[in-house]
Amino acid sequence: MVFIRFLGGLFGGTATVASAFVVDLYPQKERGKQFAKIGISAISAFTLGPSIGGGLAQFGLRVPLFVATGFSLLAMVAAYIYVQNAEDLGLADRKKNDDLVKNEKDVNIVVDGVGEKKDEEKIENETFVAWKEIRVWIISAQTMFTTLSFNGVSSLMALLLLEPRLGVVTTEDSVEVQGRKVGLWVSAFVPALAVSQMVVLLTLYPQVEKKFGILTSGFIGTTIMAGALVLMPYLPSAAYLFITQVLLAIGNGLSTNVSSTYLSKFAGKGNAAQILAWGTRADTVGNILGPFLTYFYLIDSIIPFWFCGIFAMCGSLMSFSLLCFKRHASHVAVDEKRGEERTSLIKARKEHATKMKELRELHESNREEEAVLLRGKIHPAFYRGLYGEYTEQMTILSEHLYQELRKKNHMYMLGSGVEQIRQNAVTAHKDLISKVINSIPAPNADTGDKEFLDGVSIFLSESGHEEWALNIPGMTPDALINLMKIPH
Amino acid sequence: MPIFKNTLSKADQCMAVLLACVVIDLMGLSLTIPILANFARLVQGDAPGCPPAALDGIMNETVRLTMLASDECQKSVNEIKANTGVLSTAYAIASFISTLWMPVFSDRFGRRLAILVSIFGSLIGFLGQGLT
Repeated sequence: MVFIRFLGGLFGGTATVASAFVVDLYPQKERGKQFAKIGISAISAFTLGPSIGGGLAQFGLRVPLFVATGFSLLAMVAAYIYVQNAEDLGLADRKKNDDLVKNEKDVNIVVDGVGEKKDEEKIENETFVAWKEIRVWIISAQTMFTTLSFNGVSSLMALLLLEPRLGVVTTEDSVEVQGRKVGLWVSAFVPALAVSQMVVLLTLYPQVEKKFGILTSGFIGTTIMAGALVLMPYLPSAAYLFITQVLLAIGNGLSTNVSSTYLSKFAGKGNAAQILAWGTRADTVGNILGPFLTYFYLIDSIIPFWFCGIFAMCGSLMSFSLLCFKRHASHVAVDEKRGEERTSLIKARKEHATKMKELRELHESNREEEAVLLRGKIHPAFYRGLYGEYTEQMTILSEHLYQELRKKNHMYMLGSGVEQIRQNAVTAHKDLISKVINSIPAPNADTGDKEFLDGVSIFLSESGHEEWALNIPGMTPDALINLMKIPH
Repeated sequence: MPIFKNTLSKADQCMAVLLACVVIDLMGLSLTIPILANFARLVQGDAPGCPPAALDGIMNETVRLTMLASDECQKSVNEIKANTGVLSTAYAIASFISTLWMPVFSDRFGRRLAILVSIFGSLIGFLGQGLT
C-alpha cells in the first residue's frame, strides 16, 4: 500500500505541467489569472478532499477511492480529447512572439539605462548571500516547525478521533463502522478549519501585523498553536475539538505568511526567487516530516500531541529570537550605506523614466500628425467609410481577412502589443495574403487602381479593427507607402 | 469586436480540463486523510492481541472488550496508527520527486503526454489503493 501511494504520488506534478501549459497557451497579460485558477483548484482540492472522502466513506471505506478512479478515467478521456500541445492549437508562435517582445524590451533597457542596470546588479549581488545570513536559517526553521506541526496534527486528528474516550466511536463498533464515523467527523472539521483560517487571514492577521509587526504575529500564532496542540489529547468530547480547531486556525493564520513576508525583506531584484525558495523548501521539509509524528504513537497516545506542540513552540521561539535579533554595528552601517545608494539609484531611475515618458509622448503626438499627413496621400479606397462605393468592398475584404486569420489563431498576436506589431510588422503566411488578395475584385484601369492588386500589404486601420498591418518579409515601409499613393 | 473570446476557446477548453486534472491529482492526498487510519487497519488485517474483525457480533462481548482493553491490543493499535504516517509521507516524498522529473518529461515529450501519463498514474494509484 505504501508502494502504491508512492507510485500515485510519483505521477503527481499535474500542477507544474498545467503551469507550463499556461505559459504556452496564454499571453503574458492573462497568465496571472490562469495561475490563480490553478492555485484555487489546488486549495479547493485540499479543503474539499477530506470532506468528500469522509462523506463517500459512509458508503464503504473503499468507495471514495473507486469514485476517484472513475473521475480520473473521465478526466483522462477529457484530456485525451481536449488537451492539445500548444503547437497543435496553432499557438506555437505565441511564445516566440512574446520572447521577441521581451528581448526588445531588454534591448531598450540596455539602451535607455546606459549601464545603470549593471550598477544596480552589482549592488544587489553584494547586498545579500542567503546562506550566510543566519536570519534566513532561523526563519526557515520557523517555517519548517510551523508546517511540521500543522501538517502533523492533520494526520493525528483522525487517529485521535478513533479513541473511544471522545465519544465518536465505541469499542463495540467494527473497524468499518469506526472508519465511517471518523470520516464523518473529519469531513466536518476540515472545512471548519479552512473557513476559520480564511477568516483569520482576511481579518485578524492584517490587524495584528499592522499593530505588532510580522514577527510578533508569528510568535503569537505559533504559541496559540502549541497551546491548542497540547490541549488536544485531554479533551473530554469530540465537540471540543472544534475549539482547538479554531485555535489552530487562528495560530496558523497568524503565522503562515510570516516567513514569505520576512524573507521578502531580504529579496533584491535579481535574487527574489532564490530567497523565497528558502521558505518553500522549509515548507516541503515540514510537509514530509509532519506525518512522521504518528510514530510517537509507539510510545503513547498523548506523546505525539506533546511533540507536535513542542515543535510549534520551537517555531515560536525562532520568531522570538528574531525579534531580539540585533545586528553588529558595522553591519548596520554597511546596510545603511547600501540603503542610501539604492534610494539614490531608484531616484535617478525614476527621473530617467519620467524623461523617457515625456519623450515617448512627444514622439506619439508627432506620429499622430504624420499619420494625418500620410492619410491625405494614401489611396482613399483603403479606408472604409471614406470612399463611398468602395466601402462595402473594404468591409468584405477586412471581414474575410479577419476570418482567415482567426482560423489560424493569429488574432491575439495581431491584436496585442499593437505598437510592437506596427513597428516590426507581423509575418503572416504568404498563401494567406494571396488568398485575400485574390478575393479583391479586378482593378479599375481607368482610375489607376493597378497598384492595389500588385501590392502585398493591406492596411485595415479604420475598418473597425485596431490599427494593424500585415506585411511580407522584405517589404519596406517606403515601398508600402509608394504602393498606397494616389496615382498622379 | 470580441477578438479574444472566440479565438481562445480551444485554449480555454484545454485549461478547464487541466484544472480538473489538477484537482483530481491533488485529491490523491487529501481524499484519504479521514479514512487512512482505519483503512490501514483493514488492509493490515487484525491487530495482534485484538479481537478479530471476522468474529464481530459472534464473539462473547465480555471477552471482546477484555481483549480490546488489553495492553497488547492497545500497543498494536498504536503501532498501526504510527504506520499511517508512512502512508502520508510516502505520498509527500513521491510528489516532491514528481516535481523534479515531470517538468523535464513534459519539455521533452510534450505537455499533452505528460498530463495523460500523470492522470493515468493517479488513476492507477486510486485503483491500486481501492483494491489492496
